[in-house]
Amino acid sequence: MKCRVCRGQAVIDIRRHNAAFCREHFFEHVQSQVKRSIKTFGMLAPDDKILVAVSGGKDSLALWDILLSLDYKADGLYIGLGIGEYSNFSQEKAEVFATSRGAHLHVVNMKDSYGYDIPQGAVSARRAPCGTCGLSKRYVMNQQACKAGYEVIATGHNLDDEVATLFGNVLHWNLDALSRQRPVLPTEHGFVKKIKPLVRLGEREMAAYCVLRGIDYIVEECPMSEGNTGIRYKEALNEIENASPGTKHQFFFGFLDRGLDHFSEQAGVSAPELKSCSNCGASTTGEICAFCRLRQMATDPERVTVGSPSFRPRRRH
Amino acid sequence: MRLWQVCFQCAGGWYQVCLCGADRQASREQIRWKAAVHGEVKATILYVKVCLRNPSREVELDGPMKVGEILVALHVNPESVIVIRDDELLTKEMAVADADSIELRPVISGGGV
Ligand code: SF4
Ligand SMILES: [Zn+2]
Ligand SMILES: [Zn+2]
Repeated sequence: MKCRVCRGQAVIDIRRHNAAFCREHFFEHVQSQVKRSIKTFGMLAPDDKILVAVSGGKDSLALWDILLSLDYKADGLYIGLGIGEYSNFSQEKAEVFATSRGAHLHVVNMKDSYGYDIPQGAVSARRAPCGTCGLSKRYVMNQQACKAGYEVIATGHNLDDEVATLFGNVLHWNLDALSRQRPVLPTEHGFVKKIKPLVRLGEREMAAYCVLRGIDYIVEECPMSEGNTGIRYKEALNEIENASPGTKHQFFFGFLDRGLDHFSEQAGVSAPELKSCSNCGASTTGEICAFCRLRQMATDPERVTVGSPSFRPRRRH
Repeated sequence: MRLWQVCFQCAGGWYQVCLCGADRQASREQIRWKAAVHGEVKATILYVKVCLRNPSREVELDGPMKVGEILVALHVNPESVIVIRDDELLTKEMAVADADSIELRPVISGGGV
């Protein structure tokens, strides 16, 4: 297999682009896809102070590496979730990477800073671990970014993540989530701008990028991911992609081009009024925000303040 | 080509004997002859070793095989893995020989932020 650019020996083929690349031109391809996303969706200004949400996995470490190599001012934030050995190993990967690049990594431990960890929070709140984890991470990222004066939070969501989320939202006709699934969420209502610069790159490309760049990431799956529907959707979508390369890209970018506005207009009409959480001040549709409720349940289940019965937290992806 | 790694204890070392095609029979004869002359013979058949993850396990296959053939044989979707040999990535038309070790590393990660 030959590199599309130089005809040298290819190291990876990307069937949806009908192309293969040698090592050097693969790095160029990855950078150009990220630059294109940043430009198309207006993700970053050259001087933006960026906080990269780093998990120790391939996507977030690759994202941090790419942003640094494009000369952006990007620091990392690692959130210690308290998931046993998995958390210890992933923190180590994030720290080793930061040291190797001379980059700054903030480390926040859920248990130390918020009084609970993910396994405990999931049990206390009787929620799925990934739901508990996602809610906690979104809140902590935003709070830490505000506190340290970052203008943008960058997350390592790749094309496969976005396609799996879109697929799930369509399967369940989750109109609210469909109206907000975008690569950029602007600064609003106390939320820091959030961007997903890897949306044009698949997870296979991100794993390949890490191997070729010598980035040591945590390969083991999080032990709490078992039964995660997102993984099942990804497997099903990969079957379709294998038979018809390019399907995932068309599904997601077709949605952004031709579907999203329709859902956003609908949502605009029926958007619930936002208030401030009576506990922490964050924007919410209920009396108390979803994070504070979760934290109360996890740390002091006797004193849970119940919001309005119809309370549903608004989620920014 | 399928290799047998043979240790003739008298010779004090290991060397490899090709067991493919016509050589296979000849090599077996050679081993038998050596065993008859020198006593004990240890022989190990070398395979392509494939490391899989989640859960971690190892599978042995007869080489040489193309990466694409290995993925088909193990029912692995090429969209879901990268194939690594000694820190290098392999594309699906590349051949893997007996005694090579490769890793099929899954690329799907889950969970939601
Ligand atoms: S798999 Fe679930 S619990 Fe584990 S880190 Fe990801 S979101 Fe959190
Ligand atoms: Zn090239
Ligand atoms: Zn709150």
